[in-house]
Amino acid sequence: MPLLEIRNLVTAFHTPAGRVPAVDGVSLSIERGTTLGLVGESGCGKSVTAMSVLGLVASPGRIEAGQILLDRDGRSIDLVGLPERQLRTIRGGRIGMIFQEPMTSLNPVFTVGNQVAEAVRLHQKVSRQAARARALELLRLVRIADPERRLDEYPHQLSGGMRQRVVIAMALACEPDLLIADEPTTALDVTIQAQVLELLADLRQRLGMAILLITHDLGVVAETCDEVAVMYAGRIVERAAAAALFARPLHPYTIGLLAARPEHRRAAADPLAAIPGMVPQPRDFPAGCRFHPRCPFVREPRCTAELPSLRELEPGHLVRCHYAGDLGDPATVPAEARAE
Amino acid sequence: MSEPARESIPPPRPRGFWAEAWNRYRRMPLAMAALIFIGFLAAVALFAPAIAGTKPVICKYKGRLYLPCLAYYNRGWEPVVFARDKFRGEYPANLEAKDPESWAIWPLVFQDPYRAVRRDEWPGLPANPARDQGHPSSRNLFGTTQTGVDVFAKMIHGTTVALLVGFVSMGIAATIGITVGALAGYFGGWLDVVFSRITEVVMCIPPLVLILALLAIVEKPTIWKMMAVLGLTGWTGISRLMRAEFLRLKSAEFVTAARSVGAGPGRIIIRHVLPNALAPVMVPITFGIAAAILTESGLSFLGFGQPPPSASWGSLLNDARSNLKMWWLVAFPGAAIFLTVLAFNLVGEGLQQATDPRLREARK
Repeated sequence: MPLLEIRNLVTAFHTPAGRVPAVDGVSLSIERGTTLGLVGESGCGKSVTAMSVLGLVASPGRIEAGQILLDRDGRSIDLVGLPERQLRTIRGGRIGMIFQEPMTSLNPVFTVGNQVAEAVRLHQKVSRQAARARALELLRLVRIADPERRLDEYPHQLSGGMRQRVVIAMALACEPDLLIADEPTTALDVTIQAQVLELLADLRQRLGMAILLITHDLGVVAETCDEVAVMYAGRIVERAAAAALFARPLHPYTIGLLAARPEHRRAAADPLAAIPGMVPQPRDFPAGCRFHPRCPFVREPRCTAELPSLRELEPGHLVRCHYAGDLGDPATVPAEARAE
Repeated sequence: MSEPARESIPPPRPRGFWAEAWNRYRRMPLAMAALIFIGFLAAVALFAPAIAGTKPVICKYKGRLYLPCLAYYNRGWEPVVFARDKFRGEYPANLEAKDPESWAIWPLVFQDPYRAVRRDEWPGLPANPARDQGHPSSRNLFGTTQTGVDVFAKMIHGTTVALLVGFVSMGIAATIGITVGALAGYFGGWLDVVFSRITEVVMCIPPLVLILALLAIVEKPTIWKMMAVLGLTGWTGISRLMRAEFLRLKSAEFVTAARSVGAGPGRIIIRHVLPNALAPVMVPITFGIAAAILTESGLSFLGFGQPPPSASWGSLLNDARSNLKMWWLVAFPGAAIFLTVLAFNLVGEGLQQATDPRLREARK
């Protein structure tokens, strides 16, 4: 049984302008101790998927359908529809989460030690001193230099990388089985990024936890993930082992993403490849394949009319494209660029 | 891992938000002076019976120790033995006559805020001059009223009234305002709609008119009822500010982070959001204290305050209406009201500057 299995998750926001399905039928699974990378452009529903797992989707958003099954000591429980009180024992206890902005994800009025100790005391009945000792231990675990002193410092006194380590320490307070990292390195310097990723990989090994890594950085995925799921416009478009995906991407979107990496250029002088157009807004997703207006391989009429299903083209390699594996030649100009 | 090595110069001690704010506040001389003045007023208010009064602070009578001055706080606290022995409020002569062994420590100034001191009540002290004869003198520092009551004693005891009105009414207002604003802002939805409409309704009630109406209905209008009305009508501004702060902060990432480690709504509201939202409401609370003191003085001046004998600054001004030649009845209480209100406003302004997020950013 996988540690976490998401089945056909639908999370929609009910705005005055109408229903906006940010996550539309996403299925994922994460095995114990592995890292799953969830990749996609901004606004494709990655973060909403993560928030749905913890039941933290803010109003007017709501999980409308699907199951989120968590393996809890051999028994699988569905987090969708779980009462708030029980969800709170899951949050921080079984699933920890770290956020994109280490500058804002710590409370400015409390010391670092105070906040980490609070995360401990929320789930364990321990004394203040014991919680503080545990906080110190956690700061050591995330390799913060001079942890005794940092314990009594306020967030604004720490650097971005340090704060992210503190946030990680908070998430690890109760040794969760799963750590959800929502773009943990986006706001950090490149050198600090590498350190934080290295730390996460090391912690995963030492604590045996699984990581759901949300990112738009394919380089990060290549370095750290066992499995990859690519999201586009609220749906998973491709799912495979990391090695397989990078070696042989099947979906036109994934192909475009890989081609758009700066290191993919032959010479530094070459222009960056880009996928033309923008991710569509959830309220006006196109009919048929949601990627078709930007797809260089688009073929009328099937791509514009019929929603492709997620099919297993190769063992363990799923793709949501009618013509995957047989894309043919790219059109010189995709539909959206033509329309302009 | 290449974390920076430990610096050789010890870093400044970690400081919280309030410590930083205090640090900035301390550097504003005017606001600091105002704060010290309020501290002085608070001390005067607290120790009023020991500063001016006709009852001993402490005395030994028939072998036991008593604190008759407590009667100024609450009439019921006057030791019964003095009523039984028919002191009638006159201590010095009676103590001497009824127990030669007795001794007493007296207030600094032997003058009563509620009645005129009679001749030789204190050995050698003449009776207080009445009507327009009570010019300020060495015996009556700020003069006396029409009926011969010492103005200085009245003003000392009036400090208690003024500060009580300010703090109690704003305490009520702050409690209601913070609670309503926090709940409305954090939970939103129908709760927000209901609370916001209630706030708007209360905003429409002019507190002065409500107090006048209340005083007309209620049999015994006390200062406590006035404080209740001021508190129950004065919370709307605080509530609206609090709601706005909660709306802003509830979607802050650190709140989501707190939820993601399993914190419940109560803990998030009180521990995570409230401390961050408190700074902006401190300012209207301080201004509110000044406004409440002014309202009480105004009502007493109009004669709608505490029924006599009262020791409110406003009631002294009321006394002055009958004879404007008694300038000391206007000047001293007027100055006291003016300075107190000014001090609270200066403190509010100082707080505003010390906790202003823009100034905070600029310093970084």
